[in-house]
Amino acid sequence: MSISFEEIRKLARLSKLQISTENECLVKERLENVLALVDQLQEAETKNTHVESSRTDYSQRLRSDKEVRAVNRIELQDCAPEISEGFYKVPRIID
Amino acid sequence: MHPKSLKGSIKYQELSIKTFNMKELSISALNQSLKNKDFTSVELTEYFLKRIKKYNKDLNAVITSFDEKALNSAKLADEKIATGAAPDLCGIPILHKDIFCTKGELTTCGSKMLANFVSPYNATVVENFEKSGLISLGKTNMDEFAMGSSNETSYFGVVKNPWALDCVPGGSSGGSAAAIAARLAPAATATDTGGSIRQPAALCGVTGIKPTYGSVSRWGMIAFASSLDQGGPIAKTSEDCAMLLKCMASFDHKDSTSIENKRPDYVSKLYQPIDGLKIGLPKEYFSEGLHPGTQKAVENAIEVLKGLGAKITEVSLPNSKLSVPAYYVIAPAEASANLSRYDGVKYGYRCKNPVDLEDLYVRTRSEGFGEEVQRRIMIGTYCLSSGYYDAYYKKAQLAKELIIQDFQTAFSDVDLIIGPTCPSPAFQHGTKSDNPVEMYLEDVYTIAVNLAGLPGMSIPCGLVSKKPVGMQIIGNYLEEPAMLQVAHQFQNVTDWHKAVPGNF
Repeated sequence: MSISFEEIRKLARLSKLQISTENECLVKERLENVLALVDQLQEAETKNTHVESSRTDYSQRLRSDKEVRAVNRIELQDCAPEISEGFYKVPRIID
Repeated sequence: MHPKSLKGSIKYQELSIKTFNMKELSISALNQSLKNKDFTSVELTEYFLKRIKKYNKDLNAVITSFDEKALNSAKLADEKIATGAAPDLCGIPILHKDIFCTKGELTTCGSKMLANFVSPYNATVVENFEKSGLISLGKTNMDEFAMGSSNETSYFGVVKNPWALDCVPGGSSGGSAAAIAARLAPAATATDTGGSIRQPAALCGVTGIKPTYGSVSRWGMIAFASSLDQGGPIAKTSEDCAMLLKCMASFDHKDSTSIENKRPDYVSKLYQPIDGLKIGLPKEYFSEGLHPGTQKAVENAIEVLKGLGAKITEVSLPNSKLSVPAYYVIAPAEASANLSRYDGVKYGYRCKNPVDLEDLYVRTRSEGFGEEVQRRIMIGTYCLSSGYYDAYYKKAQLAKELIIQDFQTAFSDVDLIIGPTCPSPAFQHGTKSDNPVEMYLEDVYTIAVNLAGLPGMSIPCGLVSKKPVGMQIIGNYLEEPAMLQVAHQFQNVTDWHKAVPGNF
């Protein structure tokens, strides 16, 4: 199983991760090893197999149409790295 | 002289520790002692907080200790006990894996990403225990975002195995297992996505159970792979685990996969004999790759079960070999989606001086996540990306069906399945951390259980080179009472669960 450096960079981009140039070779090697393991799946005979959603008697529940206040906004925003006037603050997007 | 008649708190505590050996008492004995007022919850809590202070520097099993809060809760528990109307387990201390949200306290998930995160609410599991009056003692170390089998990926440093300090305790719930083995608490919570309760329980010589998927609420339990994640207890014995699970498992409307039916009675079956119970040994679990010492210990344990009247037969789980490959598609795929929420905006780590939004996301995640977490996010992204979905994700889901069918065929002939929990006893730090695939194979016997959503547990069944060996017991859906029963009957006639590492 081989992945190109191009694919590694694309994967990093999609994952919103940054891989330093000096680390690219190691990341590539280790990903290839894991994908070689995962490729053993191709040996599975699954022509007549279907995916069943669940084995226990789960049913998709709907919650009642009632407003519930779980945690208040101030408590939630206390966890944020940066807030301003009740809003989450991010770097400027529009000039 | 009854210790209660002594005055002076220090002397009194020392005597009560000596008289009652609090660290070795079972949950039911602690419960009884608290009700009899042999000692108070405050004394019990102080005792375990002192043990954490004394031994954690050697083990690194606990990340946060709730000293003052724990003692305040213990005072309230004592008041409740004094009224005579306290619920069972009221006043008993418990450690929580740092994956469960604890209101007003740090909840780090073993990651730099959440190193300063103070949760604004309690996980349902924490809530269930606190409502019953158990005392939250603190939070245990773990592999970062529960991704690991050795507790070496934690941002807060490796956990050491109390049986051999140069060895790993297993993972991802390595802190919880090591804490129970070193008797830093009588009970701990843990989670299991691919073996993270059972494998560390095995390597540390303690008892742990992962119940049927949907038994324990996932609300407030930080998500790794949501279709596989399941909480459960780690403790000294099967009886302790049964009592803890009774409190821990509940229907929760806030968890969309919580089972609505009433939970089975985990406790009352414990004391019944296992005469005639049919146990299957999967031939695939006793083949190449299994350490001969581990194999011998498990075989000896099976002889004990035979002696108790269990009927042993061989079964086959022919698709077992697909479980690790299927898991390493499904779990990273779900993880890549679940971990996309860590972007430096609403909570958790944020990189310094981001130049734009993309830079904020990318640097926050690259600086905040460790190497293993980043690897799994990338594997998941790869398996879910356009052109690869059918070859990987769909194929893994089909393989999972084959694994489920294997178990159902086996359970048409036997009541329970038994085998080793992991291929070998605890290994030395650093020996597998450079080879992810070798590390992933640590969970070769445990992963299939998660993929099928079945309950599984590990109990100590021997020592190899002075390191513990675990025996895995697998049941059909909601058959935890039978698993706990076999484990309890085994522990009634053996002493492996009583073995403690020398220095603790």
